[in-house]
Amino acid sequence: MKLFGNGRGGRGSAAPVVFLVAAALGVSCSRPPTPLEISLVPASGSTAAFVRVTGLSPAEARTLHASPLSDAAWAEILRVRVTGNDELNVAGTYSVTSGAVEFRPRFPFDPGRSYSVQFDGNRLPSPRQAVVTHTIEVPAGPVSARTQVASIAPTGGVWPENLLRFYIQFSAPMSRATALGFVRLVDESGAEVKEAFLPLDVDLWNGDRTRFTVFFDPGRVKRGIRPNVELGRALHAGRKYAIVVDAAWPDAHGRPLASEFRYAFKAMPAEERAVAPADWKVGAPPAGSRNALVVTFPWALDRGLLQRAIGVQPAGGTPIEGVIAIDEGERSWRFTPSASWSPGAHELVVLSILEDPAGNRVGRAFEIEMFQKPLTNPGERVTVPFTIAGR
Amino acid sequence: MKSALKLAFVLGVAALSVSAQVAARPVAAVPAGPAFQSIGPLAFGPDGTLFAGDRDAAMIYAVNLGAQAAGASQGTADVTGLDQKVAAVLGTAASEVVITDLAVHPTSHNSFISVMRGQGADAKPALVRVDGAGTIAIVDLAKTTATSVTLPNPPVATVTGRGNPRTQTIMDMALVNGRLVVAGLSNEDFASKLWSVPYPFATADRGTSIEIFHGNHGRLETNSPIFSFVPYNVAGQPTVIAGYLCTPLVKIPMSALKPGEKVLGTTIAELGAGNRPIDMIVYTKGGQEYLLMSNTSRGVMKIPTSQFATNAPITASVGGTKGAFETIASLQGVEQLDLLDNGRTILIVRGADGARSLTTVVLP
Repeated sequence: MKLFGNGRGGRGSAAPVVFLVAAALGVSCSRPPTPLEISLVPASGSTAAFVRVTGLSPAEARTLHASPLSDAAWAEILRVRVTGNDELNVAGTYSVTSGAVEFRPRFPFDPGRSYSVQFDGNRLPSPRQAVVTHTIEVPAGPVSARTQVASIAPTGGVWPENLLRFYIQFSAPMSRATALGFVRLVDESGAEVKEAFLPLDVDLWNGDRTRFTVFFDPGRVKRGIRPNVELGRALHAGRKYAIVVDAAWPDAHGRPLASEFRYAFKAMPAEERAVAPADWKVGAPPAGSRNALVVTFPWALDRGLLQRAIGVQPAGGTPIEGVIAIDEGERSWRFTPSASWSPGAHELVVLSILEDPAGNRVGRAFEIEMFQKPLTNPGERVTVPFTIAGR
Repeated sequence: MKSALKLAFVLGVAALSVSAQVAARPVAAVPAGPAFQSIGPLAFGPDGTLFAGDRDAAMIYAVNLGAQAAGASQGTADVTGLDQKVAAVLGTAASEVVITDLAVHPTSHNSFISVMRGQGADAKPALVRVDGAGTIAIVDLAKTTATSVTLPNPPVATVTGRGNPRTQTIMDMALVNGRLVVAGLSNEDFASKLWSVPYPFATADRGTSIEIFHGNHGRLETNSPIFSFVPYNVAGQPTVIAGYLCTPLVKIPMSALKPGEKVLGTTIAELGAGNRPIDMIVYTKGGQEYLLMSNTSRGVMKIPTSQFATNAPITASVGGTKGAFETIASLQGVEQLDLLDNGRTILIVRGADGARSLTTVVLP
């Protein structure tokens, strides 16, 4: 803490100032006022860290408490600024307790950031000729491991040339920055395939910002649409490509990723069929076991939607609790129940929102004829029956 | 099932089928101000009600700002270094501030800016007001009142105890004939859907979800998402003018927005590839109405609205662009845009150095 007296010096010239302040306050010369002191009160429970200025006399505190001060007037007395910003005050609320003034920022102070605090006694309703400044800092938290790309789905290294979306999974929460400028599609020669994606400036994070969805430009994917006619598809069957994620993409702590990430894949012919659950192969485990039910698809389905769009239940019953696993390549889906299988008729419940990564959904391919009537609508869900055989 | 549903709090605007009445959660009055988890798109109703989208909570709040609707002076003054200044008031650095939208209050003409303070999971929402003196103030949301509506649940077929990673980004919204119309984009399913809910929010009518198609080149249709839209009367008929990726302009009559119908919009202009619209406003100048549209890579376009009623539907491939418009060369780096008053627009502009400014411009 630094103590300045009337702008004329530091601690060395405090004595005459003390005299002047004491005289102004009508305090006995033999009893100098308590020095003003700024401190940071650490966070406790649900209370965020705040600034406290101590050293006010009971009379000063009473006068201040009784004074109806605007925020602007308060900020003249107790000024809190982000260090390096000499213009604007941090917004917050002021209060007076016995012998202290407190400032609570509207938003908690950032760990590791320093704030410059100034208390100007000259601005008090009963002025005291003392200006106190102090720099505060909430300690930074422990440094966690650097974030990295954990995986990109579809997994398995083969993508249809009409792929519509892929997911980038991170090892820890990322910043709010979108993929703009951080994700590229490159061809075998390493050259970037331009204008491949939907503009990447849209927030397509999941809830905890560990997964970002990238859409290929559907106008290039879909036959007959102008970008497709003029530019063609970004991917061509038989060729090799890579998705490159730049290490500069900042994580939740503002740090770059541990390293650049490359996901190599080969483009396959377009997939243009509607998803047809009736064509799936269902491998039913025996009753009494907790073995996984394994559902195999003729082609890969969307990893994200597979997490929520298929359920299992006794025929006409309620959903069974369990754990879903999706195999590499998204060609099979495993469901391990929490309790042992009971014998009898069961069914898969498949929501019609389930799509493959090319946007073909249950009962409706991504590309449909214009003015097709009626629009194919399989309803909200379809069921696929299977039987759990008794031992 | 209940536990799974509790975890599935990231919601979708419209994930059911076209024929479904959407099962939105009940609406609720919020007695002590809105409890935003995040704050994104903003839109003012004509009476000064502020509609604010909360993506993380999958809610839309209708906020009565009360006395905070106006600062000490009317209008909005230009602010250079906007992100740095907003950050300073919020007690952080510009790198920790994400500006999500801009809207001008209809009577005070102060600008309201939605901001996320922080980058990580503990980022906090803030609503900032800039008045005619350029004073930056944080709106104390605890001193406002609000009603809210929760967007429809995404469907879940599983009982796995896992959270649902589906989220819904609200791209744009507007109050149209007593209904709040919302355009969204999901991170899992790709379709053009509008959600329409009556305002004032009421438990009796939780809104409808409509899937929109627009004709494109004769043989195929597309249901690409709507990025920006504006309500507009075309030949006396209430209509949504919608901007899509790469960049068809499409008109959809409000009367067609009925659940269970296959809603087909009409493409009335093609404004160029490699681009998406950001914001739209309608204004009048010299007795002629115009649409002003900001774009990610094709600048700001001034589009005469008289053609909306008369342009022939575009059903064939267009080499380049089609429809009358003028690109305003002087307006570069425009990220947000709203109508400030009858003669001026207010912009958030990102300069070559990356810093953002709040800038007033005479309507072109």
